[in-house]
Amino acid sequence: MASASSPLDTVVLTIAHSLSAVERTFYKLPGSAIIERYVRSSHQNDPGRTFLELIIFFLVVRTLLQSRTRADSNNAKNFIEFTEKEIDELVEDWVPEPLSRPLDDIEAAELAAVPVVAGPNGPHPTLVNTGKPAINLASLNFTGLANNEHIKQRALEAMRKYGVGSCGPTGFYGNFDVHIQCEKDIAEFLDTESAILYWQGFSTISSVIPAFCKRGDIIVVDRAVTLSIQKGMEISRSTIRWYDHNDLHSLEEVLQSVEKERRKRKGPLTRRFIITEGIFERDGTMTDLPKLIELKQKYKYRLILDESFSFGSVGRTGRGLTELYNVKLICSWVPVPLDYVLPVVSVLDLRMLLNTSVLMLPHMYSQLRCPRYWLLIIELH
Amino acid sequence: MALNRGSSPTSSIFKKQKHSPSSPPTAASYLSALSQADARARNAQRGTPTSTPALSLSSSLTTSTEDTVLTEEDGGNSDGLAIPVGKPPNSEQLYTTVHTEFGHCYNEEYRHISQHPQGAPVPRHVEQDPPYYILFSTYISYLILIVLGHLRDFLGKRFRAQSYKHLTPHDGYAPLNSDFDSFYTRRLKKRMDECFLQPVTGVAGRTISLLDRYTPDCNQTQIILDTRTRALNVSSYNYLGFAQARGGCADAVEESMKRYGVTSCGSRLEGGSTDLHTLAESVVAKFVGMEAAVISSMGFATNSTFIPALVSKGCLIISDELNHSSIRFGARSSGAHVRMFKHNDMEALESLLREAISQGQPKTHRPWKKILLIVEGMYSMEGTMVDLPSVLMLKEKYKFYLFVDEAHSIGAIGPHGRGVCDYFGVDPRKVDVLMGTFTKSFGASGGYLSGNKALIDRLRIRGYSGAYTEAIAPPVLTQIIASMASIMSIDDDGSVPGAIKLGLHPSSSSSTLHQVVDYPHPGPISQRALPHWLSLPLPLASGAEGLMRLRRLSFNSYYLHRGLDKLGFITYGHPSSPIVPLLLFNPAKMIMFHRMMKDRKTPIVIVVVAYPATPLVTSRVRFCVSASHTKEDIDSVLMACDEIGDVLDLKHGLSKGERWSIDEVCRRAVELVHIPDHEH
Repeated sequence: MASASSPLDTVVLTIAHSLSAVERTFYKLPGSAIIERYVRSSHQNDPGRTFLELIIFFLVVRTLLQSRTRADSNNAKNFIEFTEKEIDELVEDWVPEPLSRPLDDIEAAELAAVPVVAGPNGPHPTLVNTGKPAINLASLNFTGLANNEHIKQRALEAMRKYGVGSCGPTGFYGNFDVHIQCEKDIAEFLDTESAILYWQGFSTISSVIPAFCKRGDIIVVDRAVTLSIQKGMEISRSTIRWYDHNDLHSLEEVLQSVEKERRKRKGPLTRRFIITEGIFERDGTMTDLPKLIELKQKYKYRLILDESFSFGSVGRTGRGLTELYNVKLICSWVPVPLDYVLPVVSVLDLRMLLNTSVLMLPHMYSQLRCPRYWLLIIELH
Repeated sequence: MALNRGSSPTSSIFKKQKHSPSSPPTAASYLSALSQADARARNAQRGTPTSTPALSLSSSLTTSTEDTVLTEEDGGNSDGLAIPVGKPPNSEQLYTTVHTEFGHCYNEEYRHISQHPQGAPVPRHVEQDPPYYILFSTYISYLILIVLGHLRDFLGKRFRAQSYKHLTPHDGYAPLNSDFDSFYTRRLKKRMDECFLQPVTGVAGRTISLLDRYTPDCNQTQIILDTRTRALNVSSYNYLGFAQARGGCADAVEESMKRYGVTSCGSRLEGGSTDLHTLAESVVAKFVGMEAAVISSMGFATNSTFIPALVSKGCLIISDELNHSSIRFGARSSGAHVRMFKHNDMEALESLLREAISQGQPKTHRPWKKILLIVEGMYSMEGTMVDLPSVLMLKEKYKFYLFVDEAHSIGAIGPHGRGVCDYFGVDPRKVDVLMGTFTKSFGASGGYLSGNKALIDRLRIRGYSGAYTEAIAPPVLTQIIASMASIMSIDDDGSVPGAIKLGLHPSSSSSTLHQVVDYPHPGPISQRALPHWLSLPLPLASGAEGLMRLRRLSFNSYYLHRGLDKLGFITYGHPSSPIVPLLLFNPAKMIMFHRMMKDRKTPIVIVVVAYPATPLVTSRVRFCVSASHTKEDIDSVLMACDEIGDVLDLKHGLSKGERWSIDEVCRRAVELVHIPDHEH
């Protein structure tokens, strides 16, 4: 008997020995007393509790180990397993559409009919297509400053001082003193707190909108706004509500319904914007600014007014709609591309009540790749 | 020193230490002593002939002497930037550029041809990891910054409600910026604002003039002073050194301003097209070796407005994970499905392609209409280059369309400067769409997209650019034409300038011009394809200067890249890329590195980039070398990095035994540059 039980005894003894060794090492570890106390207090002679704790512990470990870059769980359902050979066959079979269709006759004729000016553009340019002079009712040169000799001269001086390109984005040594001066001059001209230059008219509003409007924000917008505004809204992923073109009654109805929805939902206050154009690019209609401002203030919206076509063309001294209607905008923004009035520059002008402008500018700069260009806004005065 | 004016407490500590040499050597005092020694050495080396170059040349040059001796108004050479150091030039060497804009470097040894050896494998991008304590301290620093930031927000909102008004709802308006969205800007970026938005003046060439500024209230406001500091510029995208206010290109721009004015009044389709636009497009197409090209007035918008015209719903865009945000913007607004693959990883790309083609569109499993692969020729934050030969091999098998964004590679790499196709010796027409910008290498602005004629004509009428964005301005066009022509070299084929009728129409121009100009691809351009009034000086027209620019740029890129490697730094990217990222990791080192570089005797301005442009831990300095830098300029950048690297503990690349000393690097520069890629 003794001989039979001895190997069993040895095993039991070894286990007991190693267990006590583990226990001793455990108590030697710093902080082990805390763990012990925790386990004891949670156990409280109830194995169910320990079991529950263990489940929670394993769940936590599992969550931590799970890959953060989860494979598309939606796709996983739809995923079809193929063998390598089948994939090769599918690849072989796949015929993509051509990258572009060649132009058909109508489109080609359309492209051929695009006027091309020989030499400088102006009110009476010569056309390459016909070789004859024409009266220009197509170009955007409202103030006729395009070929102003004085501006040319000043631009030349600037070129001889700064070169042509600024070779860097604003953040990284592309912020020239002329840019700063120009922004200051524009802000002063429009009587606003500050202004910021963008390199291209189209990109101005389409990068400004996503800089402020985020997912969950509400944009109420005219149905006939220009494409750059539409693109900006698309990128912003905000909730978009449309109102009838230039119809402020329709706008008010939309504003009321948004307000009603918000009350029903009892959600947190989100940013709300009205976006419209001063003079519409599509049909040249003009927004009734005083009424718009009244509505905006009543319903507490921020207004983004695209003055691409009204800046420099209406108002006693060309300051746009605000001058025409003699109103002062507070805490709204008016983007005005200058390129139609003056050379090669676009402007966003921030009408800010608060001192937030400084804080937001870098954010918007970061969306720009291209450098800004010099401009002599002094000529406007 | 002027740049120590930053009112943060650290800089005042600096000053004190500088004045008490008896104090135990600290990082800052050590650094300033070294930089002073460096300046002394420069002065001694220059010796007596310092002022002679300009004088000795004044006899041989008459009209251009004005330009030659011209330096900035502040005149002096205390920073060692206005007058070239080293050997005085001999009488055969003419100064055609202003040294502060484009450095004088006549040593023909300091040239290198940027070319991929045929058949050699493309080196893979290897990410070197720093020691664990660096990673650990980086995470800890960010943790401290984030915790402190949130604590300040929490307390600030309760006790200083007035200054947090813009983050809380008021008068029924929601805050314009939510505190969560703007947290990074307010609490992390704001602390290092001295590295960004530096106001500058003059030409952003080899040197740049900084308007000194200081902040009285921890970067809430920046006050610009009247004084200026000239600094060595290794931060502008001026790869070929065309940022010049003088010289052949600038003269051409002046001529065009007189002829065409400064604006083109409108969009391309609506009365803003001039003959110059048509011409510029054909020059661009010729330069990149494609059938036709369309240009747009802004680089960012080239991607964001033309990509939606290429693909639509039912198409798939496969995009490299490090692609520029303009590509993401364009892809997002196109409506196509977008998938990303691991940066430059061809296996990942292939398995993604196999999956995408075999599975088809999500849910419906219909085959994709088109698959467009978008990669960049050179990645702006990493300096890595796309493995074009492998991509083209995949393209043959998987039949996707290839879009290469050459924003940083066009002009910068390749033996003829024609970008990544030229570098690998690949026919550019194997690529479907080549996109690029004029900002980086050509000293202009705007972007182009080139491809076959049918595609480009389609883009002209379908891209929003055509109808909605203003056409590029004539002076900018001229800068593009002149700089590209000078790299291509002009072939004066006996035609009488002005005899041919200019301003062909978009739809007919490229075909007719193409017949006229039928040279082998990286070849010269005919004088007839250029505006008749454009006359470039001989060094530019013959292509000699263009070639010199390309080779100097390649030498500088290789030298800085390999020099930093040999000194023991961790760098990323391909050695022929003019973008050289040097990894810093810790966020605080970014400001210190920036400040220490700027406060040297010869100030150097650099760009530091951090999250979100890079992953959180790998903050970096990004040097952009240029053909306008001389070998001595790169020497001084290396010296500065060597000193600062010791102080800031940045050398975690090569092990100590394999490193070279800074003297050895400078002495053996030529040897270093000519080590073949695979042996380095």
